[in-house]
Amino acid sequence: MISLLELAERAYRGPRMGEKEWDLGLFRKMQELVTAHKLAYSGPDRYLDVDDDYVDRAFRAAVAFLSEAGVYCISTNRVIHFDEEEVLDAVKSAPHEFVVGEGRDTRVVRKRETEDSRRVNVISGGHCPWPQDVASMAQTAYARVLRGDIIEGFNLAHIDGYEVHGLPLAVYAARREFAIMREAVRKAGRPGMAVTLYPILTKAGPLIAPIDPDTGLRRTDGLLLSVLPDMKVEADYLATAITYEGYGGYKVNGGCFSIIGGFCGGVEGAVIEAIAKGITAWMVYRDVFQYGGTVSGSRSLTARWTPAMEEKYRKAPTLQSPIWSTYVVQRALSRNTNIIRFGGIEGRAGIGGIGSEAELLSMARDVVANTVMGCNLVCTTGSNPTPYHVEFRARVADATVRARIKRDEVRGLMEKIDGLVTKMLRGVPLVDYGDRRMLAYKDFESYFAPMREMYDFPAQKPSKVLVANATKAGTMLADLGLDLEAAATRL
Amino acid sequence: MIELIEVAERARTGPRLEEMEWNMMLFRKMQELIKEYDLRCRGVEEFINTDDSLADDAFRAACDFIVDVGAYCISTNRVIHFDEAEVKKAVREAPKQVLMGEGKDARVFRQGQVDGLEPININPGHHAPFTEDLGSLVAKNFAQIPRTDFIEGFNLPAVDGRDIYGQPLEAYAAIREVAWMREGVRKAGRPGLAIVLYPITTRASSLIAPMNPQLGLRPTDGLLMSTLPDVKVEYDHITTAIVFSSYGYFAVNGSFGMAGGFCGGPEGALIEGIVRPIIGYMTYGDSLHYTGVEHLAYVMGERIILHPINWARSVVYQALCRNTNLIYMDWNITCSELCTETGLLENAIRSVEATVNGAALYAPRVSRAKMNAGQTPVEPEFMIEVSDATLKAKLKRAEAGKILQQIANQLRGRSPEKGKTTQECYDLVKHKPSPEYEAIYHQVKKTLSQHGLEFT
Repeated sequence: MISLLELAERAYRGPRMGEKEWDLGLFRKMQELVTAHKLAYSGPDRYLDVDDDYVDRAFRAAVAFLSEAGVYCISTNRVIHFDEEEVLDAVKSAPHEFVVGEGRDTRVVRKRETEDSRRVNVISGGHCPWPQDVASMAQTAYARVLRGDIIEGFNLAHIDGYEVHGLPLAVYAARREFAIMREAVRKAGRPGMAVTLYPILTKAGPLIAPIDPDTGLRRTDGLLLSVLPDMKVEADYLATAITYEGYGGYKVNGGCFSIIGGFCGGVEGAVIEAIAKGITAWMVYRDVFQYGGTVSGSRSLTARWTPAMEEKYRKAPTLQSPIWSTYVVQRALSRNTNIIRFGGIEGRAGIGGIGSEAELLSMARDVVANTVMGCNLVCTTGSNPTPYHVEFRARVADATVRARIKRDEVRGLMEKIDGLVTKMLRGVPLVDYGDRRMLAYKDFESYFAPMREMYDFPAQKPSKVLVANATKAGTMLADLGLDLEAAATRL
Repeated sequence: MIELIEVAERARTGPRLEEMEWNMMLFRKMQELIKEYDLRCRGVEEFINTDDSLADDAFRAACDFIVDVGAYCISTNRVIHFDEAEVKKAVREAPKQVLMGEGKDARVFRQGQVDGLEPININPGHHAPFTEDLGSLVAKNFAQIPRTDFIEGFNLPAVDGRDIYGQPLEAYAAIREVAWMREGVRKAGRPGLAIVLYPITTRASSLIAPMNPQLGLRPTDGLLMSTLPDVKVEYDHITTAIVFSSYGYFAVNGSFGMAGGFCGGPEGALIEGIVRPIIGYMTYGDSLHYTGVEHLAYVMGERIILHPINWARSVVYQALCRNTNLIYMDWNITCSELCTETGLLENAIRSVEATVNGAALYAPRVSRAKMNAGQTPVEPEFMIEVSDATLKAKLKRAEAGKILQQIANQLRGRSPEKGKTTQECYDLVKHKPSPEYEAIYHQVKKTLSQHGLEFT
């Protein structure tokens, strides 16, 4: 497989191009590939029922994109080109399983196939900002969820009374982040649990700084190194990837998604982009895990919660991203690569309010589809406001596996759950909180209060209301054939 | 001592100043301090300073400089200010010794004493450019010198056949550099010998990348993090210091004053040579400082300039010895190239001068080192012998100054001598100089014996 040094050299020697020129070229290229590979689709919405011929064409389009257009390095304003052999060679060589953590907390994270009968791997916690005084307690609570195989780190706006601003403070914060994470997993009784570094800053310094087998990032830990939207990569990440290839550890691409309506064009272009990004992350950064595989409307990915937004989206409660496009990405990567995938479709977060029956059911709806698609479960804090949400999701995933749900059954299940949620919300103000994480930087108390109401973080116990709502949601899911209780004990 | 994150904060929020404005202000301030403390150059009879009160005055001038002016961060174009209490505290608290290396190869690196009698600490190389094919072999040869306390890495133009260009390749090259050094010291039978990273670039990423207790930089190793000429510091180094401060390290600071720079002549440069080690300790946590005073033309390898640069250098060493715990070193550079009589005589002057001033001896090298032609094990071995001979002869500053004047007279009128590459004059496989270099070596030793040095 192409070496990282060769890639670095290409990033500095490849043809120069202005970023805007790349963006517009991307649009044209995607249109051309959509036509050439007969990917245009304007029929009714579909779920997990797209035929494999279409899926494989989408995959070939992504390979063609990488072979013909390459990727763009934003640090050097140069294009990194690959030939088709290099792309296919990379596709073949991705590992299908990866060992993380150490000692008794070692876990094997696997690639799952469509309709796989094996349990999902679970990533929990973090991927959000925590103030320093809350971080250890909150992350410990997430680490205590035993179904979690990996826990992700967090961001800090202030550290030891200093605002995290500029490179020196960023590296300090990155090392402190990891020290707090190590403490959190130790407190949770899981000292060897794998921890993923959540970047304080996307510069090589803060990404490399936490390396320290005693008190920081071990060889059995990892970090998030994401490909940017519009097929862009960066030299800082390449430098980081080179360093970690020599040190050890796993790398995670948080960017295996695409937004409909961006420079890649409509839904079909976005599908090609998401597949290509998955391959790119492995080729360019050696990412072994990929979050997402999602193709979604711009709102769901870019929404940053504000009261005004809440008002706006209350008026459009049915706005949802298509399911089929995400399925095509997941199926294409599953059929043609060994890439280990987490995520899948993203529903409306927090619908009905944090900890409500509606929210839990909405989550279950997505988990069922994603589990059948062969995704592992990513339960970071942004869309899992309490550790109990992580447990609930894992139980739904386990129940889905146990019930051996097939692709053609998913639509029916999703529609039934949607029906329950709609009925439940009648007369209740619809709160789709989107991505609330930015609120934490501005007003942490407002961000944290509803989470704390549902979960006693210091005692690490869910509230009675949350448990009651989860029980009710579980009963409704059992009526649909998903037995959460049985799955928890008998899988 | 002031916290590194506090330094980082000041580098971000301190008063803004254009770099040229800083440079010009530096010149004015130095002139003012020279006048105030009467730091005018002394005559050639003071080849090495023997006036303790002058050394103390120079130290006070340096402290005044730091308190009145501070340091300049080139990354943010801001001035970092320190108050007097912070400076005094730093000076008081700086470590007088550093433990480095591990296992049987652990060493204690100490501040020397002016007119002392104890053998001084040694870094025999590199801090020089070598190609990767020679990497581990060169490291092995220098690690084989028994008196070696730590060994520094080398710079390389290409790695695995690729030009080192851009951040990813720089990080990779830095990792490889330390890997070759580790292999070299292992081959020399000194697996725990402390290694100092010689930066491929001064970017934080390439400085942090080799941090790896098994295969790279260990907490008992070090790295070179120098303050810049004209009392300037950089954000990337503060960043690196923050990372290493919680990992474990010792840092080396190239901190000599430069006569002919914005600090002015040797008098301004000697203040700078005292200021920069203190600033290095305060901003990067540096614990070893190769300092003193150099002349721009000497560093560029253009002219052999001795007095009054040697005098100014001795003032710096004595000021630091008398007033601080800082561990200072003399960078033994020569204008002349390898395998030359002139080169070894220049080396001898430095070795004697450093020893009587209590300066450890650091990385002998051709000042304008060419690729694979910067050093051989002969120069450090010679340097150690001359230093030991100085101690054996119980030379004090005044007598040593007279001997050095005689050697300087011998060099008067000479231009830097052209020489050979490392492999032309040294067999790296057999750890042996060429017959030609060996003959020159014995000849120079004989000359020095005639001047009063006592070789064993």
